[in-house]
Amino acid sequence: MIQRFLRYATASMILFIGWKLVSFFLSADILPPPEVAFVAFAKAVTTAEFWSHFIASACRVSSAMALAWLCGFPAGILLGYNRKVDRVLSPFVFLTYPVPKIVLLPVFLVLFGLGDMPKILMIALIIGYQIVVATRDSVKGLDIKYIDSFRSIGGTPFQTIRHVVIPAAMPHGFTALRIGTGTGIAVLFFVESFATHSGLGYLIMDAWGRFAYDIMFTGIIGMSLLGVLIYELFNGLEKTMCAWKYLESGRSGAGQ
Amino acid sequence: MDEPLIDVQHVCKTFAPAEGPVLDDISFSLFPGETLSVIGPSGCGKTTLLYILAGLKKSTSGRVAICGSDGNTNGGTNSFILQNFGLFPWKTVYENVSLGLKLRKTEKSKTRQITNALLSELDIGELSDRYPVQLSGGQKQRVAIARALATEPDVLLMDEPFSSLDALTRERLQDIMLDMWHTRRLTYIIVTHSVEEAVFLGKYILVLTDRPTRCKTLITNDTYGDKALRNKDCYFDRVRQVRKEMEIR
Ligand SMILES: Nc1ncnc2c1ncn2[C@@H]1O[C@H](COP(=O)(O)OP(=O)(O)OP(=O)(O)O)[C@@H](O)[C@H]1O
Ligand SMILES: [Mg+2]
Repeated sequence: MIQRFLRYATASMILFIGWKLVSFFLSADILPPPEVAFVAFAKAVTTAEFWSHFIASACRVSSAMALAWLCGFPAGILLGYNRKVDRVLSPFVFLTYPVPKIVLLPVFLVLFGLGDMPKILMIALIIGYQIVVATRDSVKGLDIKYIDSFRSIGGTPFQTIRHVVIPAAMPHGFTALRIGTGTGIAVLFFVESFATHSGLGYLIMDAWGRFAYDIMFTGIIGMSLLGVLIYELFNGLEKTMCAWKYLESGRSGAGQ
Repeated sequence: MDEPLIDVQHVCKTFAPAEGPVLDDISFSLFPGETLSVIGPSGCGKTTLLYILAGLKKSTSGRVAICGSDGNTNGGTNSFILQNFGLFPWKTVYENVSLGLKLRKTEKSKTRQITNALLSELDIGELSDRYPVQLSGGQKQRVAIARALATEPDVLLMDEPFSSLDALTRERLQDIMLDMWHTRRLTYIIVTHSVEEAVFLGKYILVLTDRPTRCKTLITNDTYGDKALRNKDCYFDRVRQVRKEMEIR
């Protein structure tokens, strides 16, 4: 745990110095030096206003990711496990997968109004696709000997899904979620720059419009923090839910 | 003892007609408490034969009957130890071993009692909370045996169960199998590449030909069942005999 903290601290230091250098060579107006940005951020975290934006963003992105998981993971399992379903539905998935779903935002705004609904659905749609594809592929790649072995001790197809397919696909699902965190935050920023007065995306765009660069960076740091928190949440969940994988890869952070 | 437990009649298996049959007319039968070693060239279809016996693959023609303990000719249960283990990496040793009982909705306390008894019988009791990746090859194989026996199958099928182990571990596990046979009168079929193992563990030894695979000979091994066999002359004679059979074209 301490080692992990030290690694994070070192990385932060290096990023800090890099930022400092870049802001030194650019004009301080465009990129304020990190200490200025962090002082502004430190000031902001004492205000209720910042937290209301932060919480609005956190709620949107976490409910979107939960929704994406609840739909995407079972769908991926089903597609990967059942060949008939896969043959019928996979062409739809793979034809629509490369379409940039973000361009549908105006349609979503018309269909679902201006509230949180279209924002959440947009993020969920984009991440959901990634989860479906990653989960399906992992089930397809599952060594058949596990399924044979399970059937030989009397497992039904339903029990096979529960005891073999789902646990084997879990780590891949978590990987998709971690990759999806980056995508999710990016999409969050985009959807929050329209038709809303809450959220860190709004905070950033509004500050930018007012040339308030320190506030803009408060929003940027806030969004990064949100991303790191979600990412670490998935790390922690994976380490408890897929302990076996964690042992196997030998990549334990906390000195196993 | 008048009805065979396993009756295999004229079993053929063809995967691709162009390549010809893999198994071509395999027949044998086994009475309760009898054991069979199957030995033959690599790729001749030994694994395929076990899959057919386990009901995981269908034969192209022929008949396989495994008699249940209730006399039902096709109601026999089997446990299959796959080549390279087939333990579930996401389940602990305890969960792996008790899985078959859990699937059969066995009472929890009974499951715990059976599982723990097997774990200590196989000397892996203290490993019950570990995951398969944390075990040595020999320990994994003990877990696989425990899992296979937990549901008290009529027949135990094993596909080269000890082939990845060092000589000492291997002999110790062969001894364990023999002990298990003495205490439970198991009926098992073991596929192996080792002539010594075939002789040590098989009351009968089925030697298969290369593809298209037929039964070359079925040797009755009257030396079977003796734990001290490995130092006896009759054992070496038998090993030599089996080897000679395998070399005949
Ligand atoms: N699903 C399949 N489709 C086509 N051919 C197959 C299939 N499964 C097995 N075969 C072929 O059947 C033959 C027998 O395979 P099998 O795995 O039963 O051999 P084996 O005797 O167990 O070999 P080894 O001793 O190396 O384990 C092989 O030639 C293999 O290529
Ligand atoms: Mg084989």
